[in-house]
Amino acid sequence: MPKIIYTSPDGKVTELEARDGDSVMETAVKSGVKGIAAECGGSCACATCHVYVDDAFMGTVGEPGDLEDDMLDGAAAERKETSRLSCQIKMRAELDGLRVTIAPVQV
Amino acid sequence: MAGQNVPVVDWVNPGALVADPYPTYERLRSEAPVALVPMMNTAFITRYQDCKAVEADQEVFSAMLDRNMMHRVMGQPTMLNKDDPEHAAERHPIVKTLTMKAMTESWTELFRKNAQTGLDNLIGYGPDAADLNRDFATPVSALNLIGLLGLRGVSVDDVARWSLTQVAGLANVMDSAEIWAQVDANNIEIDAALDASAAFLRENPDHSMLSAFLAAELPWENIKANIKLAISGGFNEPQHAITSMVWALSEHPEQRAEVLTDPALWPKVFEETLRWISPVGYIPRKVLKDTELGGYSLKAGDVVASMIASANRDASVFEDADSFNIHREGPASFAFGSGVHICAGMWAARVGIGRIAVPALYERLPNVRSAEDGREAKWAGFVFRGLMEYPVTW
Repeated sequence: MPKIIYTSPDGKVTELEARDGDSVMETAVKSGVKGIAAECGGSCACATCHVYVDDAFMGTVGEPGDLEDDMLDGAAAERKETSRLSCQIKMRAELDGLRVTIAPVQV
Repeated sequence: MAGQNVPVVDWVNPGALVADPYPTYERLRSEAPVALVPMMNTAFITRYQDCKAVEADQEVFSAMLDRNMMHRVMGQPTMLNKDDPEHAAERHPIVKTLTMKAMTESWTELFRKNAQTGLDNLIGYGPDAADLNRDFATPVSALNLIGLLGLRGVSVDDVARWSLTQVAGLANVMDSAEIWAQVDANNIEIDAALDASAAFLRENPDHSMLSAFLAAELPWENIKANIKLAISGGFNEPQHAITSMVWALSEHPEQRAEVLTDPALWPKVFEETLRWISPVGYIPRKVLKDTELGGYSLKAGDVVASMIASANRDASVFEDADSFNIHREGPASFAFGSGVHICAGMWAARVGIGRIAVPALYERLPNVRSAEDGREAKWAGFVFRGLMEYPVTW
């Protein structure tokens, strides 16, 4: 199972094994990782699961879709080039070891 | 599908729900968390996780209800009664208008100004006669909404009257011809205001929702229906959010003292108030295929309702759920719903009400609280719940 390494806003690092096909958001929420609100439950409708993807994984993770792009523009925390909504990143083998930093505020 | 049959509960009493729905919800959660309520021919879903599951799966739980008061009140189905991709096509144009960033960058100045207008109005009535709903929550919510929608030549009284008529229509389960006549007359008025506003915005586009819908070139009938939806959800609920926040703090003076000392707590007061007393009571959905939910079997064609107000008092999710506690940790409340239909106006409410209007009220009147001279607060509703009258003093 592919691993994800989360860094929370308070600096805490959490390493989790994700089920194939689960999103980076779902994996975090199931294990109670703090800092991801995910109010809409993964529908790309609230921008409260904002993360910054580690540079090394940006190419593999890919670009946000149109709606996600608009949601990220309006997120509570600063949007960076590495910003993604974690509900839109589905885990697969090639993302094993993915590192993400959770945005400092979601609401 | 396996699973128990959904029990029919004949003891759910509409009068009791309107007066105070929470005891009924508590009993439903413990005895029959999925229960058919015959008077509404709807299965009430009262536990948090089950509500969340319903909202997460639009392939099983559809927003497209056959028989819906909303269609009549809004003129035609709105985005709230469509599934994706049709829903997304109508929602996407206003996403940028209503984000957190849009609120802080484009709307804060107007929200502040409207809060001060509301305050001047409230103070004018004096501490022996002021009603927070009538004199503050009404003008603030209406003025914020007029701005967000992009309406021209529309007054606070217009918005208040339109919203009241819409609420009467949405609750017209008895099919009163008189109420439908009022709804039709109301829609003629709203349509005229929208025609005039759109004529202006086509020449002078701005950050408003109507401007965004026009830029996306959605069909005009469709835009009008969605603006009517925004009027129905964008006035009554923020109004209730304002009065419920002040009521909650009046009932909990120790937490009120904390937030007055530390204004960074205002967002928590807002979130906890909406969990504790949710302005929108439930969301109806139609079951598209046989399924199992929380151990009960549901059949294609069944109508279910995610009971927001009940989910927010589910003690398996929120510790000591009936208590008001601004320091509560745990999952986001269900007040704005969840899934693709999560309230599009949630940032407008969080910023306009939670971070601007109510803090401004306490900044000017730190002692504002429930009246203590025998004038009584009047709560009502379970479809929408809030204070209809709220006498305050300071």
